[in-house]
Amino acid sequence: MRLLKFAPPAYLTKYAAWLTGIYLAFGHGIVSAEQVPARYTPPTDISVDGHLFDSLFILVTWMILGLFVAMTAILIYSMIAFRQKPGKRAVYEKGDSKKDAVKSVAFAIAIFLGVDGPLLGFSHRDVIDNFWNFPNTKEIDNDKDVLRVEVLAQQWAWNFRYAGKDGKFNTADDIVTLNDFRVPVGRKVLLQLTSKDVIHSMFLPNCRIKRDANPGEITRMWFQTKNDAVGDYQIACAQMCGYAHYLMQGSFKVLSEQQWTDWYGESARISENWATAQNEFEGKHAELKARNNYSWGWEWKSQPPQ
Amino acid sequence: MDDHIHPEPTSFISKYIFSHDHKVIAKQFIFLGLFGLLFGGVMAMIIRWTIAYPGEPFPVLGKLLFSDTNGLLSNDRYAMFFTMHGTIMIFFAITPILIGGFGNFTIPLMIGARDMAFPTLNMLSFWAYFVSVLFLAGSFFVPGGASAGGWVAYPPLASTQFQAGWGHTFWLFAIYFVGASSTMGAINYITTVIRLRAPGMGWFDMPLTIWGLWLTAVLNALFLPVLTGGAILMILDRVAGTHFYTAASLGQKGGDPILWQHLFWIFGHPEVYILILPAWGIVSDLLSFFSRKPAFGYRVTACAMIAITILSALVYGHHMFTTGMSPMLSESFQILTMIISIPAAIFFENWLHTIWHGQIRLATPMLFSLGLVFVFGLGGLSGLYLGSIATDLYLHDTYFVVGHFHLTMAAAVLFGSFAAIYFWFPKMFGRMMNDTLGKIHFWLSVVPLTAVFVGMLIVGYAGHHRRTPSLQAYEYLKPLQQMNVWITVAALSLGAAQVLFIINFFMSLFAGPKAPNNPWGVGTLEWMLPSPPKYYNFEKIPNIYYGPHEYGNPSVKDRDWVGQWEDPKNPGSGGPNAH
Repeated sequence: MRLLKFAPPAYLTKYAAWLTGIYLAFGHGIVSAEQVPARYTPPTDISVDGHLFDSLFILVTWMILGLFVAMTAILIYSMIAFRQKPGKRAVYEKGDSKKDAVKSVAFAIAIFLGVDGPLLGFSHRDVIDNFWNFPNTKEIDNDKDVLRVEVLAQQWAWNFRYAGKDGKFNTADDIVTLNDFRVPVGRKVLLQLTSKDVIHSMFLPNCRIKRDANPGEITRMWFQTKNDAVGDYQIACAQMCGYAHYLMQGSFKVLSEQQWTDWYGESARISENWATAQNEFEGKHAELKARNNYSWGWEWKSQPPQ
Repeated sequence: MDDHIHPEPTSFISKYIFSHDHKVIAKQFIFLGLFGLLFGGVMAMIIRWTIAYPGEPFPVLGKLLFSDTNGLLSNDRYAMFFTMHGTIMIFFAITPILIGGFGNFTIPLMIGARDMAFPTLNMLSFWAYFVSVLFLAGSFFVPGGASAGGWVAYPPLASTQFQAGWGHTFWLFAIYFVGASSTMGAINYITTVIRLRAPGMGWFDMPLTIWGLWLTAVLNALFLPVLTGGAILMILDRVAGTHFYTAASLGQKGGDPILWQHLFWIFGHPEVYILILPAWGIVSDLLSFFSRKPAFGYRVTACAMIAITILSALVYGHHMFTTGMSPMLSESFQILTMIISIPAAIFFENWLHTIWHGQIRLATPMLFSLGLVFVFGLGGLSGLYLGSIATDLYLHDTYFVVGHFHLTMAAAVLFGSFAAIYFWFPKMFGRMMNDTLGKIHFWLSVVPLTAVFVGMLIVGYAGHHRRTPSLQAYEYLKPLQQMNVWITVAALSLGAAQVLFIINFFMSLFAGPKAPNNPWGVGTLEWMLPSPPKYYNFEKIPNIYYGPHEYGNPSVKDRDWVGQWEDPKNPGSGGPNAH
């Protein structure tokens, strides 16, 4: 009720009006209408774990929205209601008693337990049970349960290597592709990543995960697509990797079981295409040509460092 | 101590150029910092323009700067621009304004000292900093252009193989000298606060500004040398062919590129607090000064600052969740990061409690202080998403991170700097700044600023990753173009609003009304002195009887503040030099 006794300061309303006016006047002229409809949320979720990120994000947002609204309300209310009045004095309140100290620390701990607590709990659960709960491929060599893929990042493209029919990497029947990452729908996919040159980061926005590809070591990442995820998506490089970083995108296709069998059967032709594509790609960038002779592929690390 | 007053220097050079006077050195830092802010700000405008309007040259400047590319910012220059924007804003705008500038200006004045403990070291600190500026400015003009690997300069991208020119080596020398300068300054600040407080001023009688600056100095002394050392190793990699950061897979003898990330972020996370602690301290004081009410829970606030200083050294791994670091380590860093919420919540609680039932004067410094609370609230809360691994795996290296750290490090620190400039300008230059222009400057800044960085949080959440001059390569980014245009419009408005500040600053500097000794009615020591204070500040070092936030004390009848220097038998009577 106290609020009603005081009008907001005149200049505040005046500037607010001005600002609105300026934005209305210039905003329309500068912001051209786009053909593509705008989107403000993450791209389609296609992995079985992606919803964990989505729901945790929303949960945190709701929790902190309360804090943020309360803080803003107190700020604005104070600016209006507690403005200086001639001859009046503020309350002489230092808040330096033990009781005040205990109260404020207790309040802060309550916020920690109430907001950070659930966040920590869910994050721990999601990481241990899902995002970093890597499938065990120690005894697997046929890719039927878990598809294994080796990834070599380079300036500014992605190379992928599948084991082929013999189930062994770095052999003649490997399937190698450039910027063309295909996985069968619904199967677990385990990636081992490294980089040929600088640090890259393989970002699958549709799966809500990313992992750095570092030169000189092998890192890993895994995901599993949902059963209805068949379609075309994109891989992004999230780590600054040179002036053409923004062009480093790769195609990411989720195939139905039938499409997958067909494609996988054509291994020889695909790998030939890789050599051509690689030559063509590196021909575009003079500085890449010098580093062209680089054979890659490694025996699958059944126990990577982590 | 009282007998040891040096004569005032008389020549122009010893007075204004190679000065030992902390007030002059403070102004030198502030002018260089404001120049850096302008420079980094214009770069930000050009960066934003490039994203929003592909193929259109930046008005006026585009044709002048990039005549060889039809006024467009080419991709390699785009990389140089965001690298140098980050470097300039952090090391050559915020650091000199808040730490070099206001650190130098306020520490001796607010603790009742005649100068810093080591005036010559202080001068050396500024000139080492100046050498650093020369290196950074020079790096734009060497063959191959400026450093272009991002301000974090991750190797191998920062190695000679991928950045062959001298630009990045110059950048490293600039970092080396800025590190040396900050370390010298830090030693000086730490010693001055410990040794030169006026008689009667205990640790908990210091203004919170001094607490913030002192803790910043402690962090600077501990962690800047790590960066400086890391930079030396990288210089050796680049000029002497060593292999500290090269990877074995490049057909060379291998070091470890990830080593740099550890060294960089051991420094880099404390750096965030190095930049924000002075702003927190200043705002904690100003909220009390302009609410005419004691700072609520002063000791708890100071202790929360100490807690955050310690914690800041233990959380750096949250910058590296996606590198493949051990999950146990990642989870430890995650928990330590979250614990920062506790002292941070205490700040907000005490700030809001300070203004509650105050008698608030909405002068420009107060507006900027309240603005800091608002934008830092946004920034701090958005940090929760990034401190937790499960959400960071998606948000890492997206615009969400950019929005978050700009709200905390850029927006909040910028508002802290503006609050400090508007507040201490009368004491520094002896003239008042225009309050109306200041208020307009605030409102025209806070609205677009919030829009810019909240907009970045939104596009980041929608999947827009960082350091991309164009969204066109990605189908899933195309729907974010419109939002990016809005962000750019807001950024340009924010930039335009700063013209008001520049006008106000220079008009007031030369033609502002003369400032009285104590225009704000504040009880900290600098306000007992004439504006501007004389050489050597205090003719007689005052005795301290009161804390820094004595407002509305009922035992004082005719005014609502008490100076720290005033006689407790007769408070409110003025004491020496009071107006």
